[in-house]
Amino acid sequence: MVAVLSRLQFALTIAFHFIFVPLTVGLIILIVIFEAIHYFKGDDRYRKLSNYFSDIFLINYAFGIVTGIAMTIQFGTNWAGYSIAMGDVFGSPLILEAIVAFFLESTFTGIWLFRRHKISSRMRLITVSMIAIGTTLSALWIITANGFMQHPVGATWNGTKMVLDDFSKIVFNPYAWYMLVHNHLSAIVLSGFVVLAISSWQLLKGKEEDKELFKLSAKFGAWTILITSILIPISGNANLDFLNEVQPSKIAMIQGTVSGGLETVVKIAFGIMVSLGTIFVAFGLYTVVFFKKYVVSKTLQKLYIYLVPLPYIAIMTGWMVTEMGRQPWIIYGIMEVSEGISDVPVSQIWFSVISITIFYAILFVMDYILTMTRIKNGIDHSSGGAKDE
Amino acid sequence: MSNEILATIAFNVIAFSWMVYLVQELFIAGSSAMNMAVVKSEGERRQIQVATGIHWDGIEVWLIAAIALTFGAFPLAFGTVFTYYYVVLFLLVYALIGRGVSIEVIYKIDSKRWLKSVVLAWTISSTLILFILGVFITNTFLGFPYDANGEMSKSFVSAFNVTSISGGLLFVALGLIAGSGWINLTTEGELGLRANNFVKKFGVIYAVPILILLVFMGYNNSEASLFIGELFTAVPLMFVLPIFTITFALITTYCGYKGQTTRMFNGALLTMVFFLITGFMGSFPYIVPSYIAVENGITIFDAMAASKSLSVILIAIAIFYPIIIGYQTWKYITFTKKVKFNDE
Repeated sequence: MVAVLSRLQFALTIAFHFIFVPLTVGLIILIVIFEAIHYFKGDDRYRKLSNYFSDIFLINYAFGIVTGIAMTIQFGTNWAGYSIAMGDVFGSPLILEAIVAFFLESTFTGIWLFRRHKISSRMRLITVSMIAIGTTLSALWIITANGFMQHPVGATWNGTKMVLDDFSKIVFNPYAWYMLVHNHLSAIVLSGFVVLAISSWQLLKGKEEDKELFKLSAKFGAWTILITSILIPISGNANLDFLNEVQPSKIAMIQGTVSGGLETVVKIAFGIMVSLGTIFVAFGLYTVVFFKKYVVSKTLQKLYIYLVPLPYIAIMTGWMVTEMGRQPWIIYGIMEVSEGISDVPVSQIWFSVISITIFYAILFVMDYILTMTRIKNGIDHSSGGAKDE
Repeated sequence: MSNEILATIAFNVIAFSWMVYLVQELFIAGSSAMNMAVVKSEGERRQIQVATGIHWDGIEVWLIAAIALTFGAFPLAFGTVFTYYYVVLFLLVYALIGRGVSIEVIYKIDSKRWLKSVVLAWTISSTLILFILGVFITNTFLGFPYDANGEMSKSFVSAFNVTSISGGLLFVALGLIAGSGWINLTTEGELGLRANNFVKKFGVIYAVPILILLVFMGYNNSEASLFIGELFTAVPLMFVLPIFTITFALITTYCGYKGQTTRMFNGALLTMVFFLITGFMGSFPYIVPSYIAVENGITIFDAMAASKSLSVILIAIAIFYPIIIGYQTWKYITFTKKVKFNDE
């Protein structure tokens, strides 16, 4: 029971955490582009767009960082067996994530949230670049840790725990780099969809004077979707070729050559991810080519508002393939999930599972309402920036 | 370098990270915790919010760093302590989530009805952060019911004992004092004065020395007492550390009474610094001390990761800690200006 509940809790907390993370990781890159254009060309429209989308970034960033703390603490509370066996190897990427990435993004996000209207455009560009570097590095380190669990290199199992042989092998684990590229592209495509959906809503129902600006951001969204959705299958294919060698059991699940409940789920999830990826290319291409049609077509604009769940589904199914495909291993080929759990009274895990579910439900409602309110408020021209500043 | 030296350095780095975190959390959480008692308008609340909001997520990473370092450098201690404190740590996580979310939500919210409950959440979570951290840290120095079989012989409820509750209250009291000092330093108008009157009127400043004595007496009664630990026994001069702690606590009380705000603020921070140094020095080399029998405890040498892993970690720390401290100091210097009433 402890194992079942701990896994349920981990699945719940990571899935919830990952509602916010890909959006912030992708969106900040678009914000950097807006700020760069503003800084180099002095075009004030981009500053307004940057301020507007920054508000949406910041709301989701806050929810992302606080739900991330739960992840760190869970390794000790629920997965002590795993932590003790893996500390030598898993600890270093986690520490690097904290000191190289988290400090950078958190320090500068504070400035961005409360002081962005009081600093020069050069300082603005530096601040958002630091946040973008921070979020990217953060993804790098956590995927390095995950990559090790999927394809353990650079360390050996001595019978009771993993012992580090070569840290550079862990960092340059090819598995992690395939994942990082694929994962980052998917985050960017997601933010492309979000930007396009928000712009569509504004074109449909927003203020008349904002519409020129949102046509501009819609164009950015469409191009973002097109470029990244073409790159995603390329990176995915390379990843798959590599998996053929190192995780044959996962490939067998994807191809459906083995049967069973879990195996079928993996196969279906893979199918959904690939189909969605293909659809994204078509959408991106259509919108970019027929952009003039999109600008006047209310049907297309409405459609894009309802498309936002699709990239989320693609990302979730992708991770389902990755994580379920590795079962029953917590470290592929070395340690099984059931060996990694803590020795905790089951009542305490019930406490955390139930309270987290309630708490996260409240948080989700808050995030949804806040983001929606902010989206609908639109751009305030009087101050040239966000409405409440 | 030998393994012992690596483990000792790692232990010091963890102690340092906790110190940097807790000292800053004192005034950030402290000024947030007192917001309902001292503001008279939403404009004033916003002043406190800007003064704390700009820093909260930057400093919270020090906590994550301290936890991740314990994980990476002393995996056995991380697994043992965190499993034992299961419920306590989840409460801490909820408080941290509540604080972070409410700071940002209040800032972005329009609805009056929501505002009221979010402000309450901000106040409660900030107070809880201080209290739970106090309980957690005080217990770490006091020791665990860790028996000869390598198991905790009591449930997590024993984490709430007289000593640790005094420790929790001590953190809250120091937080409120430092918080009032921070409000005074960073906001314009009469808000700062009201904050100082608050800690004086309700006797918060007088509580600090008493609570410290209670905690130290609790330590002294324990089987794993800090004051008969390895370093205190070997170097009796170390007793200046607890004496400094008490002295700074008394200075804090005196300056608070006299209305010397900046000195009171510094006094509270220094009390925390010396309280932590006393604790970490006293418990060395135990990272999971046992109050059942001293020899049951887990030392840093029992719990340490392999020397190769420790070297990687310490090299990363040596490179990045100075950089982090550099840009965070820059941020304090650049952005700690008095927040005006109609700031944003």
